[in-house]
Amino acid sequence: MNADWTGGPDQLLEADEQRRDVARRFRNTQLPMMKLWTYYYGLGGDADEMSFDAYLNEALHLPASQVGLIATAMRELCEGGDR
Amino acid sequence: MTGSQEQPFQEHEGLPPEPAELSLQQLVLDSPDIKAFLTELAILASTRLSGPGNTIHSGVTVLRHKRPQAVAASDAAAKALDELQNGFGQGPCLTALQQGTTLLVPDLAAESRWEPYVQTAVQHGVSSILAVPLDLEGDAEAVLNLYSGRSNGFSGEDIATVESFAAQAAISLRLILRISQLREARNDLTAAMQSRTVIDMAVGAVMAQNRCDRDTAFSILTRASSTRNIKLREVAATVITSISGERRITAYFDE
Amino acid sequence: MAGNSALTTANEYQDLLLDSPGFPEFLLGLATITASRLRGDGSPLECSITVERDGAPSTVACSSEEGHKLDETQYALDAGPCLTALRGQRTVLVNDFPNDDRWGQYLDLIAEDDVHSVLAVPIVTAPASKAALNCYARTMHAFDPAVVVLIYYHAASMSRILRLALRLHAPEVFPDGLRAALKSRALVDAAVSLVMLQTRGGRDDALGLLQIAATSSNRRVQEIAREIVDGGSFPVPPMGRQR
Repeated sequence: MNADWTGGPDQLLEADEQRRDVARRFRNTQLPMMKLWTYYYGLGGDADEMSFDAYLNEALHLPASQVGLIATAMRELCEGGDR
Repeated sequence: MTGSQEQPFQEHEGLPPEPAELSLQQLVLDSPDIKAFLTELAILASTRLSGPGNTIHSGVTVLRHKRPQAVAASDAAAKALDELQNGFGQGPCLTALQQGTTLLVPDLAAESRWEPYVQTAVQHGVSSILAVPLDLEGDAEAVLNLYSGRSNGFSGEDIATVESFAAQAAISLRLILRISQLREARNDLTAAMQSRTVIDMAVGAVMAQNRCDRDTAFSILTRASSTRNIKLREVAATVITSISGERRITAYFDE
Repeated sequence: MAGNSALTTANEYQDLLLDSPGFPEFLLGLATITASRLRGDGSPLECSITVERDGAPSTVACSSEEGHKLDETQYALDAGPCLTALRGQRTVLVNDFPNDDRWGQYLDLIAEDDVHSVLAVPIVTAPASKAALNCYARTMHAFDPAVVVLIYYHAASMSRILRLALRLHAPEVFPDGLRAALKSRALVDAAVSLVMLQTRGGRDDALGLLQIAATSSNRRVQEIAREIVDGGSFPVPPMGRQR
């Protein structure tokens, strides 16, 4: 989960942009990092907390499948309060 | 400070070194949170495989100090069956655990291995057993045990299902175990950094009390640490706590 | 002491920790082991171990009834040599208890007991807790320098296992809410297993399918997982979706 980027340069740009987007959304949720990680783990997430933290601080990349789970975790955690 | 080479009190013979590392993996496996996960695994396996007239009981056994321990179960019957096997110290689940491969006993009545255990299990109504080990890395070993009252109670599909369950569960558990190790390492680092401060303070305290220089103060502490085989950090902590109180205790480190 | 005693002690501590159902039981075992180890020459000596944790009531374990009473009295008075050692994290040595001016009030309450020497030594534990090993003897000056070093050694040797015990029996060994997440994970794992078997695909793909099924029906992943495990229909990948 601490993998260096192994895709091509175009994909890197795309991944960077997606990460920026996810990081911004995370900041907007104002969720504690560990709470989100815990829920993400419950959904099947495989990144450890430190990599997770690093991703959301845009210091590291994670595989697309993990990014998808982070997005799902944020959505489900925020669903509760929105209605 | 006398700086003498005499040791005024008896050298305690054979002061043991730092206690051996307690396996963090074992501690973590013992936590109520992990037990909840393993219980859920056992329940899911038993629910998934059970059918009309074929109730499947499921339990998880973990090795601790090379001894098997029943840690989770789908129900009381499963727990009892696991403990029965552990009590005998032999059985298909323990063999599966040792060998790291799935083991199926389709008909206990026809089984000649593990005789004393098998005989008792048959009396308890068990006719077939499926055991699937969980690959957890390192010294943490676990096995998922399933019991059926019917002979040939597990189909090929059942075995594939349980192996798949076990494989996914192992991923999840390995992650948690790794995280616990990371956390432990971070704590050790923090502790090491804190102990530096403690040692510095103790050096300062000894310098003030004995009116000596830093090197001398440090050597008093290190000498006390090595002759008594207590960690320098602990000697330092003792000095600091004693200096504010009983001066007589501090004197022991002076001599 | 035999050279192997170190390993024996360490193993004994570990087994005690793993076998104790809770923290008080563990501490009691520790106090008992320590008392029996320290009674080298057969003279009666009682031990207690006290632990105070931030935001939690303190735990005390004694190797005997007498020790228990001594500790309880100190707690009732909120003063005494052992409490001083514990809270100040400093060593307190009393060679002639009945005649020691510092502990007058405490003394009146326990006058009928036979305690003449007390040694209380801090045990280094985590920042959020304090611990001490308290030893009581019936003779004066029972704690000569050799015995003091021995008791220091024991206190030091217990530090690590006590820290581990505190972490193990902490209210949350893991982050908040991990237990619920672990149960959810077990369920998702099972659903993923079944999807993998059905589609002959990998874990990531299976997780992806679960999420798609969840968003397309406006439900949570956990609900979808529950449905799959309970034998409901599998989520079907949408047609024509680019992978």
